[in-house]
Amino acid sequence: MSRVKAWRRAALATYIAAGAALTLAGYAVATTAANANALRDTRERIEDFQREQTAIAENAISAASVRRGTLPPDTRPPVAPDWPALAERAMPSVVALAGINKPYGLAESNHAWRIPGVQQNAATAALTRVRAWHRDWPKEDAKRRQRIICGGVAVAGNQVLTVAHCVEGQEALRVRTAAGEWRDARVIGADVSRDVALIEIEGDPLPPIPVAEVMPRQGQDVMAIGSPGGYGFAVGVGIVAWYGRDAAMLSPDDFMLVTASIIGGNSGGVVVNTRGEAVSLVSYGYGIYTQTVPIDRAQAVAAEIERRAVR
Amino acid sequence: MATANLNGRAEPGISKYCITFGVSLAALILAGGVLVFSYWQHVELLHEGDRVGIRLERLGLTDQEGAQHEPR
Repeated sequence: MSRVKAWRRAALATYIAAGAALTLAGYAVATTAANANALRDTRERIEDFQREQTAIAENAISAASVRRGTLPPDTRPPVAPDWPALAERAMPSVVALAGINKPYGLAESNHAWRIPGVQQNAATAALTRVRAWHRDWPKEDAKRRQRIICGGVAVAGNQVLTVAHCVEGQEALRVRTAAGEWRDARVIGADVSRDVALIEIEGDPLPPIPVAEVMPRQGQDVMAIGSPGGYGFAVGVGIVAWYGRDAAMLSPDDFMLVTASIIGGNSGGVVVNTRGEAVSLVSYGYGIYTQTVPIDRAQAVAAEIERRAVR
Repeated sequence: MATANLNGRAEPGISKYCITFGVSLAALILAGGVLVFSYWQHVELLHEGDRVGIRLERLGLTDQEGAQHEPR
């Protein structure tokens, strides 16, 4: 073959390859650039929303507002807390929640796909496959194991109340009862924006915890029962620090902030007053303060979840 | 048809193929660069997007239409 022919063939092959590669690269970069824009816009929207809601919350704040719960204040004669007795009484209703994280797979459960404007197409599928190979996701998925992640409390029948961030992203759930028994559980429903989830456990119902019809006043004692760091059925005591409307983590709503010793894993655990009645569920922590979902709101959301599940 | 090369160049067509080859190779390298760029942009979406998607859901903003930023 002459040199001219060899050059001609090489030029033609490179020309065709470059054409194909540019087409593919153009398609891929158009998709990823559009997705990056959607991500940036959403981030700005979240920041705007939080700024606006924080300003609303700050404008509404007063000494009276931080004393105001979602239910009438507890004006009954104060009861000296007998924490050991209260813990013993509450424990049969308490569960430790264990779960296995959803697998990486091919990023099917990645929340990025739920951002408005983010596209999924052949380019994102191919790039995700490259990422899975690059970071060896199958190996990471093989390492998954069940671990205790949260707490929960029996409210009625086989239903257990917990918070939504405990069940989201979990593939399989089990609960460990105070008697040390493992039971399978299924999620009836979860409201992520209000951080409430309702789950159903197999086997005999657990005794439901008594629920308060009044909220403890600012400064009153409370006890949180949960699974700090994965150690189930642990307790920590503190006081009600304030009631407030928070927009930093969840949809703006009223929360009860407590100072009980609470760390990661306490989420979903119940907070009881000095009479052993459930007053809230542990949600998020801010340093030494923990945001809890008032029990009346948790029950209202759970009822809504149940109605939706029946339909 | 002339068979002899009168201007002294052995293969007159070669330069045009060289240029095509060179330009195509440059385009191929450019396409590779663009693909690498889009890969890292996609990686950022998988990481940051997951976090932002969770925040969006927790703030209850997923039901709102479009991701356009509306100045207030």
